[in-house]
Amino acid sequence: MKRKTEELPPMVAARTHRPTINPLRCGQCFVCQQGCPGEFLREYRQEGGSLRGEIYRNREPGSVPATGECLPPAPCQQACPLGQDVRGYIERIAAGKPDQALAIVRESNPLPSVCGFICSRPCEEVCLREWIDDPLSIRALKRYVVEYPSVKQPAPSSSPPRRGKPISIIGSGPAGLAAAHDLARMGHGVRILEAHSKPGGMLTMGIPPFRLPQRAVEEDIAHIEAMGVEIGTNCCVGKGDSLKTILGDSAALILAVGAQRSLTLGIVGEDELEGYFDCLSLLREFSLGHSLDLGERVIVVGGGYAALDAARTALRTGSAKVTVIYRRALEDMPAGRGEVEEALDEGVEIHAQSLPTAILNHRARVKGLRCVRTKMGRRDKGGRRSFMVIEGAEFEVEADSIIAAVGQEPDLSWLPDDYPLGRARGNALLVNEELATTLAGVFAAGDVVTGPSSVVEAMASGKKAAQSVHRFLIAKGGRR
Amino acid sequence: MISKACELKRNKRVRSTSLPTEQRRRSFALVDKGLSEKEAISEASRCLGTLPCQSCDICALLCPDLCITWNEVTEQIEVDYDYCKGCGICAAVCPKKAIDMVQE
Ligand SMILES: Cc1cc2nc3c(=O)[nH]c(=O)nc-3n(C[C@H](O)[C@H](O)[C@H](O)COP(=O)(O)OP(=O)(O)OC[C@H]3O[C@@H](n4cnc5c(N)ncnc54)[C@H](O)[C@@H]3O)c2cc1C
Repeated sequence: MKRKTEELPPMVAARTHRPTINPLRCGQCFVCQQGCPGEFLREYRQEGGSLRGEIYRNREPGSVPATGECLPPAPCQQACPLGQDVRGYIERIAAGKPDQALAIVRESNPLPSVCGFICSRPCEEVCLREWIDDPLSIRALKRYVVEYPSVKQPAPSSSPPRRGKPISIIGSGPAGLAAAHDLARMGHGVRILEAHSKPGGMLTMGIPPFRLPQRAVEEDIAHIEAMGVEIGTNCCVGKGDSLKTILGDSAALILAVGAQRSLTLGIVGEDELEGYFDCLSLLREFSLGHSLDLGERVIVVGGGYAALDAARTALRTGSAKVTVIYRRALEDMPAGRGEVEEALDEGVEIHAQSLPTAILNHRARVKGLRCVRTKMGRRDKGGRRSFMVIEGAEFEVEADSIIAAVGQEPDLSWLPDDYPLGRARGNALLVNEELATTLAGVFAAGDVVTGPSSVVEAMASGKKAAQSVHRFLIAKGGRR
Repeated sequence: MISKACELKRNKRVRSTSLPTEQRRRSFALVDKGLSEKEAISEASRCLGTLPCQSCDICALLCPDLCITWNEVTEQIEVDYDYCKGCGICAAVCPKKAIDMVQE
């Protein structure tokens, strides 16, 4: 201290008590310090001639508690696998600044346009506004931001030329794209290898245009390409170059190949019948612009996004009667409630609590489906309800074609049998907490790890893998 | 002075319009039409995060005179001006800047 205390003028004449700190009781919680006016009011720091001024002079306000950090994020932000600052961008929309809102969204979301249309919106389920009237339409607000005409997408910074081997990502679905986006942002050279002729995974080869316009997917991908990510299409790893060759040419590798194999109904001989389709192949045909004749009456078995998309596609291609058969209750459908309502509006019939037992056929052609009614039981640990067959409650539905949409699993048949990549349940890849596979330098993300999930979850997984690869390369002493 | 904090009116969510069902049955056109600018701003304003006061209680916690209280009748945060010395901590710590220091 520059001046001796005795020389200071008398202070706080009206004080009746003096705070003294009892060192035995003090737990160093710092609430006293954080709440002291000198911490908050800049003027106090400039005060001349007072002890308070002395103490706080030349002190940076660094010790001011960052109140934002002390408070937990809002429920919407906590529920989002990407941890998006939902309240932040919504506040900017309310203030009439959609371009600033987009900048906030872009901070954590590599595919904002796609999410504006088809996100499964876990945020809306926990919106506190539900206790007052209705949750906010958060997804619709995001779509408003990405579609706002004057919004200029902030130009991604052009990256410096990179030397050395790139990081290779196999698969250009939400997981691969999100991983590429984050790695490019961290300054790595990234290339994506995609089996199909167009990048996007299920966004391009599954989800139909009446829910997700292709321009939204293209916009998001163009943004990622502008960051320096190279996307090679028509490169089916395993069929063309082997994984081993690619690994040799890469600094690290992320497998983001999704869950491409449709599960079957488990009825013997089903897939040999004419008029039987698996949902993913069918939706892929439509995305490629091929048409298929499904006949007048179509049955779709399943209750997820894919099942409803197949049903609604069938309606649009001219089928008169489309019936969805789902084994659990309507409210248990994994598809979003909004999507279920839209399908019902369009005239899709949903037979919930019905389980297929046999496919009726005539001369190897589908004629209909025999089902049995189910009743709902208790919830398991994961929150899904069990169901039981009601004996004797059988019924039949006639149909010209049957589409199986009862789930997917990863298809890793292109890997050599002796390849040292561990597998987990449901044909998924075995990974640790860091999303590292059993092979050094090979990571995995998205549906190939979790089984069928959602776009946000796949993206969050891709971003996590990007972090792990970054750490792996630093540990290896590699480039940054 | 605490800004009018919890002036909440019931206000249903703004729903975007959809393509009429007859048109949907024969076309692959986008079903959901999205929100207009007016609808978006009105929907965004429903977010509780845009309210000035978030009831985080930081002001009450740090008030040296314990004079920031919750009035159960009016359901509003109140400052007891009989005891408040005007130190300004509450205004300084409020993360939403919902408290203004007003000249006496
Ligand atoms: C019809 C349908 C509708 C859906 N609707 C929604 C929805 O509305 N909302 C939502 O949140 N989620 C939805 N989902 C789920 C969501 O699409 C997926 O969870 C998500 O796409 C998974 O991302 P991913 O990157 O892990 O895999 P994918 O999107 O499947 O991408 C994997 C990519 O890897 C490529 N690939 C595979 N093997 C190889 C190989 N050997 N070499 C090179 N490339 C390869 C594939 O071609 C594909 O492009 C839907 C899914 C389907 C099928």
